[in-house]
Amino acid sequence: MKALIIEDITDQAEFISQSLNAAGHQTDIATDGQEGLLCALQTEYDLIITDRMMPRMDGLQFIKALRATGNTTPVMIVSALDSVDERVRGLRSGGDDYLVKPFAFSELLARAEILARRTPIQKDDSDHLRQLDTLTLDLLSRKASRGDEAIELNNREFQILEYFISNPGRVITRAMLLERVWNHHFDPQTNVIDVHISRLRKKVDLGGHKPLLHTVRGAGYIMEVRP
Amino acid sequence: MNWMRDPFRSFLIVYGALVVIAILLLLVTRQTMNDWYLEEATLPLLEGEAVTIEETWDEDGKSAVERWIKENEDDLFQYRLRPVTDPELIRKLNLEQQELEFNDEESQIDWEARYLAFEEADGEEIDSFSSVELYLNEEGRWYLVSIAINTDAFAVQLNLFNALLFAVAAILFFGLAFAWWVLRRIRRRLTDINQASEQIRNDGDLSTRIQYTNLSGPLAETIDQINQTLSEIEQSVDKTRQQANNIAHDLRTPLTAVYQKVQQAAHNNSELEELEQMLSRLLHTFNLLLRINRLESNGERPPLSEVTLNDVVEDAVDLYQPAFEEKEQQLTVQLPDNCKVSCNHDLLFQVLCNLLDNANKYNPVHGEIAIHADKGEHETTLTVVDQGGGVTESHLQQLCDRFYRVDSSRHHPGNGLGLSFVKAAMHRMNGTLTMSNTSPPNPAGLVVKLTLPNVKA
Repeated sequence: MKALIIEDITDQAEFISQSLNAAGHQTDIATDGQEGLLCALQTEYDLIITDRMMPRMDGLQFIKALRATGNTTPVMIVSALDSVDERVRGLRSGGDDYLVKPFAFSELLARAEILARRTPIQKDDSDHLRQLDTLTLDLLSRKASRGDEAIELNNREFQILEYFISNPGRVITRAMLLERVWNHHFDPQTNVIDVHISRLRKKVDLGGHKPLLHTVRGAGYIMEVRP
Repeated sequence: MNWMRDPFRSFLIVYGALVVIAILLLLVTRQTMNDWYLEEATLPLLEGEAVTIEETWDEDGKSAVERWIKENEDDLFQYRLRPVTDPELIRKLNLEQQELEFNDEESQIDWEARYLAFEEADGEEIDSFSSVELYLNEEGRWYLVSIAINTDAFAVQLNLFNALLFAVAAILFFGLAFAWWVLRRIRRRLTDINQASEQIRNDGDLSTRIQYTNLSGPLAETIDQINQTLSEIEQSVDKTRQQANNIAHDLRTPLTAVYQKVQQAAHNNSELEELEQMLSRLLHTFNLLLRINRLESNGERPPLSEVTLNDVVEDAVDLYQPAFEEKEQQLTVQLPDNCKVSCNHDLLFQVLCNLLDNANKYNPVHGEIAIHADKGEHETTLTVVDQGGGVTESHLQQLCDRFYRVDSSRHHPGNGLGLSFVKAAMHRMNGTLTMSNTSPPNPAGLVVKLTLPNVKA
């Protein structure tokens, strides 16, 4: 993945950049919205991570200007402003994700990786069947099965499973699940999501099949076939 | 003797008793004074008349007295002359006259006075007429002259005196009524002060002031003093809060830097992972603290809109249901259909998550949790009742304090900010948060009541 980081505080920019590099991604750094806009129009990126408050052109102005040119590169806003309406404003101006500072890097990385590959997934959407190992999800009839065995899932569980199977091999954090499945943006700081996952795991990872739902320590969960 | 400890009541009771005693005394005095006045004013007059008549009798005989009577009769005096016919009385009068002659000559006045005294002691007397009777002898025959004085002639003086007494009684009564009224006013002011302080205690809203109009003097000064003290307390609380806010702000930046460095270092060194988690929790606490401050200080004003309470509750319950099932806790939800309130959907969801999280955490295994809502005329009350044992009364007040935890050993996970957040969020949405304990025979637990304004039609 090739990402553009727009951030006026050098330390912050370096932190994001180095961490992404360590995870095997390429990065460029711009120090304000105008410079960022120039870079974004010259080079094609998989993802743009922009600060919210910057001198000259701030994050929201940058996104509006970028979208005005027809550019649809996913943009993640990183901001210290954590109120409900700030998030709404950020997403309304064309942002695709909103991450509140200070964040765990694992959270940024998980979100970045899912955002960056969002576009190809959507193109592939005509197929309503999702498959991983022996797990099959039918998005139309909303039925799931493991091998020949049908899995009884309630609506939430199906949504969670759909999110995982659509992003195989990618870390999904608790906050991401809460956002995606419950459409709420806050960190409850409890294990309530873990309870949901462990129940789902009992239904999906049946005996005789390879376990698919794995816990990633300090980050979240991942669905993949491990050898 | 409890009333004696209440200065208002003891004053009124003592004052009232004194007034009643004073008025009784005045009534007695009036009667005595009236009697005395009549006696002192009328008896000498009657006596003078009697002396004159007797002298005339002695010197000129019965016919002269009859003449004199005719000449002197007027509004003030009335006379009547008639012979005595009762033989018993004649015998008594004869005996008496012999005795007098025997005892040598007494003054005529003494003899008269005896008759007066006799009449007085005997007498149903002093109506509107006061009278004396005079027994006179002519050639062995006894005659009775009664002289009556019309006491109405003294009415002006008596009435004046009575009026004076009634005026004093009226003033005493009025004084009592006025004292009662003044005390009631003072008491009302004091009640105002008490209510304001109670409100401040209950709401923790230090910006409340005791209102007064048309008041000066010591009571107004007292109220001013209390208000001033409140202002100072409010300022110092604000200052402390602001300082805590500043500290959190100032520490957040370096902490964030440290957190980032530790995250990078932990990437290569798994021993640092625990430190990373700790820092993450610390930063979360800082952020929540700052957010509560913003909610309280109007820094964050989430837009309020019409929200269906049922949806939010359903969402939150849906999120926590597996956690309840994990502890085999029974959750019942009873809401009126399509219950609409004015609030912020996200903020209310976070509030509910906090409450459900607490209920889940503090409720025992197999415990029951009940959520129900009552739609009132102006507001809707959402109640969450658990069976987690509740808290003591002294803890109830402090539950919403930042970092306050009933369990001082802090062995439950959490940061002690949850209910502070709930309170700040409810306040921001023009709602309230109140907490109490369940009452027997229900199992001991905490009752959390949220109110939110209804949507105005």
